[in-house]
Amino acid sequence: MTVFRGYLQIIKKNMGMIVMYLCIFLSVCMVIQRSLGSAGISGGFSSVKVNVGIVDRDGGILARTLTDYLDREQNLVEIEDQEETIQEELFYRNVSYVLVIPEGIEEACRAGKAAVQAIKVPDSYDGYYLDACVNNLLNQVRTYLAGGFTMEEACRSALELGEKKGTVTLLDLNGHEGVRTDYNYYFAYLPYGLLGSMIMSMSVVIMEFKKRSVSQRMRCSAVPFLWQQVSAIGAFFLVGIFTWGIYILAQACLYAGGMFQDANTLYYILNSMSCMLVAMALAYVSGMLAHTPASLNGLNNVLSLGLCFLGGVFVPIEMLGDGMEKISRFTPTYWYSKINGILGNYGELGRELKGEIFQGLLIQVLFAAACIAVTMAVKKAFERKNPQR
Amino acid sequence: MLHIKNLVKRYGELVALDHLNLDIREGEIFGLLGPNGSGKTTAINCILALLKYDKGSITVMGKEMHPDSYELKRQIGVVPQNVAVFDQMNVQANIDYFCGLYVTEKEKRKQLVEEAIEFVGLQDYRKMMPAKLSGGLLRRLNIACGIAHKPKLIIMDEPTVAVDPQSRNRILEGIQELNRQGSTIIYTSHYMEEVEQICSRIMIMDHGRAIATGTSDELKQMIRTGETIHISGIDLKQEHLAVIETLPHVFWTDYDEEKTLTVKCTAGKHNLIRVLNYLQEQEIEFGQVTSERPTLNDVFLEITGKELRD
Repeated sequence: MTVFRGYLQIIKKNMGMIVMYLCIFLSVCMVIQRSLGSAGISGGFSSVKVNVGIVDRDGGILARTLTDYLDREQNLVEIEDQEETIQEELFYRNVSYVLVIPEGIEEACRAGKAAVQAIKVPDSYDGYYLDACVNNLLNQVRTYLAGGFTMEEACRSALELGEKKGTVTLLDLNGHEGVRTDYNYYFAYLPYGLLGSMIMSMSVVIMEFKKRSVSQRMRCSAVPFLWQQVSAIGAFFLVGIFTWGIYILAQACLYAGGMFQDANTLYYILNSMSCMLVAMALAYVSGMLAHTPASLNGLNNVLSLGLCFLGGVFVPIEMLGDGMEKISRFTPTYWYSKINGILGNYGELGRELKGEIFQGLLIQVLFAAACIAVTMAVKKAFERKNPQR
Repeated sequence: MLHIKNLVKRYGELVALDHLNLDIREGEIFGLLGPNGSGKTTAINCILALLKYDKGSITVMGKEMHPDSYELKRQIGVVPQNVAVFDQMNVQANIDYFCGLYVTEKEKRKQLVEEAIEFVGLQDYRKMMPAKLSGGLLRRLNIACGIAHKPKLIIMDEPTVAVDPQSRNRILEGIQELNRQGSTIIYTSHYMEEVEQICSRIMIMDHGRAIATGTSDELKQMIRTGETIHISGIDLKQEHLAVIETLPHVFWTDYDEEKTLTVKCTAGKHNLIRVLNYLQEQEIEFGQVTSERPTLNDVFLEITGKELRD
């Protein structure tokens, strides 16, 4: 038990690191959830209005209809009919779209020509969307005119047509009315917390025990070498499960039971435990590579932040592009995030989804095993090259 | 206590131990003396089964030593050349940890740790972290970690390297005290004065071979030099030097540019008086005169043709 106790004693000294990373992790989670909360995490969908400016050089009935239409659907902002002012307002994003209604718009509309001019932020979604809305209204007016309506009737009818609202209902595939749960977001960021905590706390122990003088002294002792190894692995697993437990407990406290109330509790547990194994393996690699606390700190940042960015923990992988996704597939965090995405989006898991989940879990476990195997092989080769004398 | 027979250890082409034979008796402090790279640490690592050897046998306390000879290892204490302690544990925790590798009983271990702390004089530093200790104190901690479980055989591999003279004396006194308490000690060093001071028997090693073994006096008797005389501030002519070389027991002279005469004589009486009488007869003035008995360095020099610290 002495060896086991020794490992725990040193890890206990670095318990502050686990707590520190937990605090950072929880703070990051809360900040992100709070900032995203109004935009949709809790509601899932909400309509937004865009600031639109109108320059009316016609003043006719069609121009008024366009103004009323945009006023109803968007936020109308008063704007001077000066090119410089318009560009300035667009530059500072006070408006996203400026509609210039030229004189004689009604005749142009009747003749089927391009009737209005839009000045907008280049390549913006808002611009494309509002172009479509304005064109839609004008087409409806043209259609009514072609049907023998007067301009006044056509404008009124087109405006009334636009009043009809559709209702948005999210597909409920995950048992939470299609809305991603708060604890799913918590689990999305979990790899950062686990990696940071474990690398900083466990690597320090590895650094201590890998010292050649210490390991020699241990091998001279009356404790069998195999038992020393078993004790070390036991201590690591104990600390790993303890750290994992803290994070799981934290989400249960924060989200009133959290994933324990989810239909996929087992998969949440398996996925986070696989992530724990990866974190433990990387802690071993870091401990073997680093020689000073400063180099360990650097290594920790590179590994935890790097893997989280590459694996789509901080930024959804879809936003990183195809090339990046190909690289991401080599990281365990990618597979973790993928499984977490499935768990967030689906309540009932079919055979295919379960297959994807088990594939991801297996890849994570294999990654952890490969890290340890390669490090041990390199260590062995190094020892053979530089034997003790 | 320890027998080594025809031990051979090779690292590729390099022969680190070349048919080494060693016999250490219970209750002695046995010194392994030799320059760096002579094979002292390799021999120690073979004894501790840290290294596999190519040929020969090692027997400790009547039993052959293997990597899994844990009962034997229980009775051996090791003080390695490099300080082997945990930076993340304080002094007391370090000693307790390494003692715990041999003694599982908590109460007994607590007592042994206290005794070890007292023995090396670290009472005031028990809660300090190793990084805060001076080089000498760190060496004492290293020793405490190796001896806390009261082993019968203690192997110390250069425990005084880079230690200040005060700490060195304290460590050497401690080693003698451990020996008085009943431990057999194997002590390796390349400091001949230390070995001469504390060891009851000495083996001089070079290139992995034992070149001489015996007590300090026995080793010195093996060589021709019995006395070395130095006379400084002296003006000598070649004919004077030729006469001095013919004096009884004198077998080697040297007169250097700093006007110092060195005379080596075989063991015998009145060597110094005869040299001084001759100088007086010739009315040759001189400065400081010293006469030294041979050192282990002289032994090494005469046997190998090189200085021990080369």
